[in-house]
Amino acid sequence: MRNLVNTLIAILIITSLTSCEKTIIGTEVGNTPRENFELFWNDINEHYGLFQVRGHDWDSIYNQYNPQVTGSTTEDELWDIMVAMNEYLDDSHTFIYDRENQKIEVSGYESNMAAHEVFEANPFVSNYLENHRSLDPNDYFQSAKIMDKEIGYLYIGAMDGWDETLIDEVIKEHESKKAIIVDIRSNTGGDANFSRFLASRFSDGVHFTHTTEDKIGPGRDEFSEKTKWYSSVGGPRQFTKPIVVITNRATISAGEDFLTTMKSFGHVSQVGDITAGDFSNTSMHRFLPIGWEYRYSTQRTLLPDGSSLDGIGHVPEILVKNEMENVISGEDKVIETALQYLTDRYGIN
Amino acid sequence: MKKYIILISSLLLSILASGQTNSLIEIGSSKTYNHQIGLSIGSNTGIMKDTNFSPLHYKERGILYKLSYENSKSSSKNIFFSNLAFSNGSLKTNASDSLESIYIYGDIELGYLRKFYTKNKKIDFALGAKYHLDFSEAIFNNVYESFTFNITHRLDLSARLNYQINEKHNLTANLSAPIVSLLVRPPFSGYDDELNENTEKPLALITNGNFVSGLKHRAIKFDLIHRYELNNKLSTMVQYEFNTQSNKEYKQFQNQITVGLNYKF
Repeated sequence: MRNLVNTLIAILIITSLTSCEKTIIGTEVGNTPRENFELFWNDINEHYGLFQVRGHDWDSIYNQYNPQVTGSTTEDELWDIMVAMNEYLDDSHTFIYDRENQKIEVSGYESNMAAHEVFEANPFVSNYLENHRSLDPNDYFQSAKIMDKEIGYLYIGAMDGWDETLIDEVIKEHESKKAIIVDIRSNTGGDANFSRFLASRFSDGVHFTHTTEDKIGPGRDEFSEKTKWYSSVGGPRQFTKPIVVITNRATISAGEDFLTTMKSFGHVSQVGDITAGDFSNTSMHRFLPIGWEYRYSTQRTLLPDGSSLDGIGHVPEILVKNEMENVISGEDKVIETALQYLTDRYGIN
Repeated sequence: MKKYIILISSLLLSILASGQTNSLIEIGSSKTYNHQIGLSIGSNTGIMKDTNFSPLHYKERGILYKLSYENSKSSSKNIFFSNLAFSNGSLKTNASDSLESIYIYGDIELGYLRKFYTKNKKIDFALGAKYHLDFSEAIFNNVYESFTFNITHRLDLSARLNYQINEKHNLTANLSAPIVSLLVRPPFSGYDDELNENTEKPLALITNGNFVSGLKHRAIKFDLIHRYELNNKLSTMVQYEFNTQSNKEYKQFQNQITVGLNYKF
């Protein structure tokens, strides 16, 4: 009898703990095409920070794709629908991943990729540079001199992943040069603090450069207070003679942040193609019951006048870009235009 | 992990050896001890849902280590105690094996209880309060891909029922719930500049939160400890703990079982 009572008590405790667990945690969202679609649309609806500045109508995307998602929608069809929704945002900080099947879709990345392929094929190092050296195993930071000219050349390929303090050594090396071309073509971005650190070595003073606001609630206009960002003067010496920053369509994110700060200096100009126009922080990976992951932009960056370059990019003083046939023939129109610009504006040959 | 197990085993054996040596010295003595320290190891299992991190439910599993200290005189009604718990494990979802995340969980308590009811030296009941820090962190792949954390600093109401079953066996039940909590959570967007700035300021990182009442952050911690006295200094203990917390974004339900030794000095 005693054993029976003990058993009943044990069953009662286990049953009450199990039901308690469901009460506390709630029911898990199901893994149906409809539930995955609703989760994906809603999560972006609540967290995406750039609907207003990019002029997106996310409700219209719901209306367009909602009827296409039914209980019989296949996994491949659902993937295609979500990729199309993702592509609508045209924002390279917005991704969707299927890790198990090794699929990734980066929104609006086609033009960036095309620019990057042209850059990769460009033999400009041997055709235009001398005393070239790479200061990083991944070639993220390179220093050289333009052939037969007193003009320095720096390549910055990423805004993290290398020792940023090397910049001081390189600034000293180029101290006597008449000008520097800072090449941030195909800069993959990284850390905006890293960008500001580098820019401080070219600084002519403290300038109000931009503001950032983070999404803090589900409403379309629920943003944090604006954080104001300023350029700073850093390092033992700064290069304040003429600088041309050269860019392409694959100059993105923290690479563009670097340019935002650099363009606040009077001696800095931009030559090349318009940059990617993706300034936001990217969210953490988000997860769907189907096992896919996605990310999106959660931040709004505005210039001091309140305008946004998101979806637009930094527009250069002189717009020029290389096509594949240029680089195959050994010509880098961007470097040549930058050199011509230095001659025309500053008389530097 | 093996290193930790060897370390814990060595500590337990040292305490056991020390207890047995001292027990020989104390034979025939009715000396009472004011301090006791406990060390135990076991498992933590549970379910976690953090909407800031993911819409999915996650099963948490990990090895759990606990360390406790208590100061109480038999002639006094005052009990001072502190507890530490740490678990290193994983989070898994039903959605996909590829979404498994690292999960770290910890618990620190500092408290005071006052006995206000005693019956035949067999049963006593105590009430008091404790500072309770509960923290957890989930990391998916690495912190650049996804992470979340939940830190709560709580002022808990705490109650204890102690039952001396016989000369060797003792049963203690503890129950606590927060009156007020300081909740420290990632921002709505999961990550922002403020969090980035605070990553190099640990104190700011673990205190940058919002105060909420026990109604908005509902939590209960219950544990049941059975002690078997090996000698007048050393006892074995088996502990079951049920731990739950729930607020708007974060919900958790844990079951923990540990076994260990308790040493009086």
